[in-house]
Amino acid sequence: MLRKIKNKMNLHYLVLIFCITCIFVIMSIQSPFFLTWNNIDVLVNNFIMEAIMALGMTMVIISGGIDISISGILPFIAIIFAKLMLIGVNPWLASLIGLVVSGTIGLFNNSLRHVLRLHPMIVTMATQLTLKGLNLAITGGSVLSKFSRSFTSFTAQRPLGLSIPIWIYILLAVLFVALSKHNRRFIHVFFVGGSNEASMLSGMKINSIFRMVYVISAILAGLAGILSVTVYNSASYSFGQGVEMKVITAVAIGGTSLTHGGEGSITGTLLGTLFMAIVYNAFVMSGISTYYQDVFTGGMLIVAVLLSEGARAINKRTNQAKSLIK
Amino acid sequence: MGLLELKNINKSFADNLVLSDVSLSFHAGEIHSIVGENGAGKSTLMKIIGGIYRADSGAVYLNGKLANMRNPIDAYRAGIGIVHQELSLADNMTVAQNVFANREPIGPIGFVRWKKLYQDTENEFQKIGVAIKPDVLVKTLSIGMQQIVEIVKVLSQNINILIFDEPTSALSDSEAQNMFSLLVKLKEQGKLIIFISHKLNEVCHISDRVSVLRDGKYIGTLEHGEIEEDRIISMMVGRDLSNLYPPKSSKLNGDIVLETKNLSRVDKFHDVSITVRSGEILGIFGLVGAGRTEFAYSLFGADRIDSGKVTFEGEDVTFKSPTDAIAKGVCYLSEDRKRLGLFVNMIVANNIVASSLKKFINRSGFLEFDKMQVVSLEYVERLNIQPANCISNYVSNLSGGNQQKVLLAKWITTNPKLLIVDEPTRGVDVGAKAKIHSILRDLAEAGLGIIMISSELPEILGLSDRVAVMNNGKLITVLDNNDLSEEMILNKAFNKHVVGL
Repeated sequence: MLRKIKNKMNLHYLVLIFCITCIFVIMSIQSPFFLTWNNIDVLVNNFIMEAIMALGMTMVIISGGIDISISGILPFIAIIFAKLMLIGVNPWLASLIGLVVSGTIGLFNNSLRHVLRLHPMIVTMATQLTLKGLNLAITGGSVLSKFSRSFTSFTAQRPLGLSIPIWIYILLAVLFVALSKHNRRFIHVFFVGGSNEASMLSGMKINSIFRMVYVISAILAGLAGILSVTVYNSASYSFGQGVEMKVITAVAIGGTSLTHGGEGSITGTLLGTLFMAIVYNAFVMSGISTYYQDVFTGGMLIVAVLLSEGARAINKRTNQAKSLIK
Repeated sequence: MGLLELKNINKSFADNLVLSDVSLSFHAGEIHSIVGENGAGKSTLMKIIGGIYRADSGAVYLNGKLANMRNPIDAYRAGIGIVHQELSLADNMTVAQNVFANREPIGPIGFVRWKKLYQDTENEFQKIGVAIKPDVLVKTLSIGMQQIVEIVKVLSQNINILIFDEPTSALSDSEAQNMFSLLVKLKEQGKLIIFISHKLNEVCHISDRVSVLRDGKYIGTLEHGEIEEDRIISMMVGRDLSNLYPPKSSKLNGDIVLETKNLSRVDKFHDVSITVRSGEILGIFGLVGAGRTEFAYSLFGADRIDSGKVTFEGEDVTFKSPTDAIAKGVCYLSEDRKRLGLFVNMIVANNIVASSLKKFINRSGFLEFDKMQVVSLEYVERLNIQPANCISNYVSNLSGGNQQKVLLAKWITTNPKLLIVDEPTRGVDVGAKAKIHSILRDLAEAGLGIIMISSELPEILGLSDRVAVMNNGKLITVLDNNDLSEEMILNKAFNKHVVGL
């Protein structure tokens, strides 16, 4: 039976890999530039912030929650990071402060959820709005830039031809795959998402598990904010507009269930992220108006949810049949 | 001095006194049952022992020492484990992960040591003589097997006091038998087993001592040798229940309401032919997986019929959907009343009229709330739904038995001709059970045909006019309920098929 379920999981992966390959092949035929190193570089870098945040979002969604505050955190931390550097703080120290602040926001999200017993959608929406307001208030709507020469030359480095955000993403992705499969605390996230009550009765401290996922999600959003500054050499309130929807979509396309906690995987999210990145790139390359991107994203979200619900229904039916035949 | 002593326990929720001055003592190596009607305070008492609730006053002594348990973790440390009524397993995780939830063996960087986890799990199962693959997902197991996983999960934590809260309510008889032999084995290992059940035959069968609670008060304890069902019941209800079941049908030859000919659904049931007459209760008995519920689903239009014929009130019919079936006068009371039958977050009145809203629409298309109110009140009174002023209470606040009555009321308002009830008294206490039985009998006397699916043999024997026995998707036989015994029916139900767990 386990093998069967593993197959089901693999089926989802296979469908994704198949789609990705198809788009890849079609685009390579259609456009001579698609397979150039330059374009692949663009493709990857364009979706890298979403990719980083999708790792944290996956854990949040598996725990049965959601975190839409990331689109407020990303620019907020970018602005704090930029401001600190502009007043002469060392970039490393400024990064650290940025990460600590974002972690605190994650803590705040979870405390509101826990103390007020509010749905995480509401809590993180409030955080998102508040931070967006703060971003405008702090910057007055202007873009922060003009960082020191040493900073800009440091961030322009590309070890082995890959940009710094990509290196960080690779490290994080490997870490998250390993943690989500083998780390006890991460496995408990699946428990809590699958059955709150069972986890509590097993003596798990549920709130600390929730705290972990919201803090991780917020820190990754903060990290994405800092990295955005290094990429654009500026910080703006307009960073990360609507990014939460793209991230959630990537996670959902990767097979993590938005409706039932406890189901999903980081590996799926990696594939979902790759899929989204390629699709966005394909839009640009094929010259279709980018206005249609979100139309497509929305459609994909529905397809993804239908797919995972369909797989669920089939699974359930085979289980029922099995138990009858037993 | 017992292993576990309760002294003068008091507990109230808001103004509601749930336990009043309860003192009890338990010994190692005994199976001690706690019985009482719903609301008698059994579950609350167990939750106090298990550290989930704290008593307002009074004390719990373990081995003569005062135990101060603030949460379930403290209780586990003290060697007290609860096997819960609702399974507390995460069904998307494996058996091993569930058994060692929160206690997984981990290496230096917090990574789980899978090999050891699986080995440990297998060892724990070996202790009770069960072989199981530790990496199987819990949701793929039968309910009986899940229950065993739950028990092993509790046992694996150095537990010497085990509390079972309605452990067999979801099990078929053979699964329950397996569990009892497990309980006896554990008792022989010197553990204290505290057993809570509504099924008095089970209680009498396995208990060394039985203590009775009524309305939050301790009534008394029966020692081994004094344990008899009638005695327990009279202690529970405070009076003698001379006859547990209502009399049989007075008119056995009513018109045929429903007839099925060779009804089949692939993988679910085959060639089932039954008749139901108006005025009778046809009991359908079978072990879990016999295809009873599936058969009912198809009759009710909730699932397809692959072949065969259904005749309802002399007409050939195929119900395409439950709506269709309800419109013609067939009703189905689900065994899973909370999930499939009731809107637990709505008030009683709304639930009662939920399936017959059409009747309450006036000419301008609006609902007539006054009329709904009146009808609801009438049913609350007629079915003795408690508390009597409950029509604007939320259904989730009612006890199991009263919820079941609300569900019955909901269907009766649609004026059905045929009522299919699936496990009508699961998890319902003795008093409410008797009331539900007499309601069913009254409905039959009023001319309804009733199909009652049940896993409880006493209920099948006590209430049915005829008994159909199913096994493995097939109808084995239909017997008139004269001088039937539990053994006769069980033999039919096993029908020489080897039923493996």
